[in-house]
Amino acid sequence: MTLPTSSAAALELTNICKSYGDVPIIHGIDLAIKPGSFVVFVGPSGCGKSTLLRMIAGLEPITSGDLVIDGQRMNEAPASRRGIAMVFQSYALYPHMDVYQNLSFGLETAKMRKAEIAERVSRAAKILKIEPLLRRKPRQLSGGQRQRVAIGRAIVREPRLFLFDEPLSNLDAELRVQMRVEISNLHRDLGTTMIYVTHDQVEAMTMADQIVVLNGGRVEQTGSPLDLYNYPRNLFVAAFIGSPRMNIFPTSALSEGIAGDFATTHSLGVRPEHLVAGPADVGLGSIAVEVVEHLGDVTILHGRLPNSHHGVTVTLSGQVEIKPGATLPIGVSRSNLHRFDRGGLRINDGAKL
Amino acid sequence: MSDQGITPPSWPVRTITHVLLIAASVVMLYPLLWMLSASVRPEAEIFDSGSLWPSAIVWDSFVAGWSGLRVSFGQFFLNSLVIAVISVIGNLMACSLAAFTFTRLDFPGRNFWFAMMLGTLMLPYHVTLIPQYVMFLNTGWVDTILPLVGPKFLAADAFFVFLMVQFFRGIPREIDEAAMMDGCSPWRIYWKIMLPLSLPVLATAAIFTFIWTWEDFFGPLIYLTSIGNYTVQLGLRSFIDASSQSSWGALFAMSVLSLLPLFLIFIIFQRMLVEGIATTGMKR
Repeated sequence: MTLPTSSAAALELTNICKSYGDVPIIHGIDLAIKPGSFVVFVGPSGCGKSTLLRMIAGLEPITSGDLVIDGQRMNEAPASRRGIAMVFQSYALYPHMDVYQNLSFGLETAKMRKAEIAERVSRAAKILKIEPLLRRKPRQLSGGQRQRVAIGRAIVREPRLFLFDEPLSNLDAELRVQMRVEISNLHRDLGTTMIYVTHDQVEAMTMADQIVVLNGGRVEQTGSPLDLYNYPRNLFVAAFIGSPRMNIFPTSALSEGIAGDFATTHSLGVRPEHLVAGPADVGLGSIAVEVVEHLGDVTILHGRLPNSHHGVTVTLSGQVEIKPGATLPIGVSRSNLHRFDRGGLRINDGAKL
Repeated sequence: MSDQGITPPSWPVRTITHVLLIAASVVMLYPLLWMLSASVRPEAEIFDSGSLWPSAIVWDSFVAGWSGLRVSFGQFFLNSLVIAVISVIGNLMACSLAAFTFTRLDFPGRNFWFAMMLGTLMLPYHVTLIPQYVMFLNTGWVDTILPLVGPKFLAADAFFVFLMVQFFRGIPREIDEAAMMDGCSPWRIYWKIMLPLSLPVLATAAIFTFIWTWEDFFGPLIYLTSIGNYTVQLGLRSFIDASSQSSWGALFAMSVLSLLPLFLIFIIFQRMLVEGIATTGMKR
């Protein structure tokens, strides 16, 4: 399929701040986004990720700092002049227009020639496979189809930068996986810079070139999905990325023999999938198994550490025959340990980062 | 809404309910039916019998009413229609623009002005009547329709502004924002997005403006002095003459005719009206 080669934008945020009245929401964000990359803003609700996206879009005024798109400061430029298209969480299709009109409306506003509008709309419709739906009204479409139309409305404008504000959160699980792949394909085909906001770390991990983890209006860490997984910079990122979430033990919760090895460490993080049954570099003792979840490909155990009764989650590959109430010796290889200091920051032991 | 768990009432209860409801509606409808019958019965019979059934159907009253005054009743209908239609246009344009401004645009003192506008809702027409009259007298607008239709183009009907504000608030902001991303100016958002999405509330406002303007007696009474400018309502009053004999038959006949436009509008737009009232939560 031949696609228009719209240029991809480079984006630079310098000390971006946002306050509502006296209440600061975003505390000085610095971020550089390379042309053509797929960046995901992820974080718990209320972390400011959507606000940040809306500031980039031009829907929310920037309190201070610089927003630079392709070398041009865009703080005050109206939304439509920024070369940006946005896909909204609620799709925000125009209910009184059919699909064709929804796609063409922005182009008509820009006073484009009818013939070119028709061409662009049919090209977008082809990419998104919504050609048979062009004469339907949004209310006659299913959730997935509406989503496609919303993306189509963004595509026809051939923007330098796509913004997605939790676009998949209204879809059912199966459709979400499918659309995830389609958006990734779209990014590959169009080559445009995309910024995608989600609270779902699986979406972030699967789609992003670069993940920006936000919390409380600050960037906790920026990096590739595997960087974040392998080298979380602090406890927040460690707990946020990965599913089931990382086990974090205060060293005081571990049996004395082990705790002694980590004198400078305040807490230890171990991902459930890195815990193994039986002997390992670092033994954590025998856990009391409380709940067993058989997922077929993996078995997830929820149990408690000996002595401290600190909760622990273990993911074992394959189907493991074990009953609640059993005890199981577990351990972890030293290279899979994450160590954090009293302030929750990662302690690097010679490894990368 | 689910009606599971609610058992329908038994047949005696249903019957009694219906009988009561029908009786109540007959009581409510009696004056209207009486007027209908008075308009077609011989004039001498009008006040002699309480029965709704005329002894004979005669159309004399209609003929007498239509051309019984110095100016044909047709002229009154035309005057009323012109005033009502211009008022509808004015109200729809001005009130929706004002409502759009209050809901979607940000300007200093917005809340203050909104409160002021709501304040005018509490102001009875009669309070501002004299100053208004003096104003229109000085502009030389008295005995023209301008004092009646002019204010409608300035969103003077705060009630409709309020009604539309409520409706506009229910339209998701994301739709505006999508339009903004599509490069729309506020004017284009108003014209291409808000208005088409507001048909129910616009229809409600149009119908009520028409009905209230059509029914209005006081405004025309104050401002229209020569009989050629009279509205239907003023025309009706002319049948009751203090100095000579009133022509009741003609009055009732023309009253029946004056109801027809309202009746027609209601029939035609009934669905839209009900929908509008349901979606706007309007009550008055």
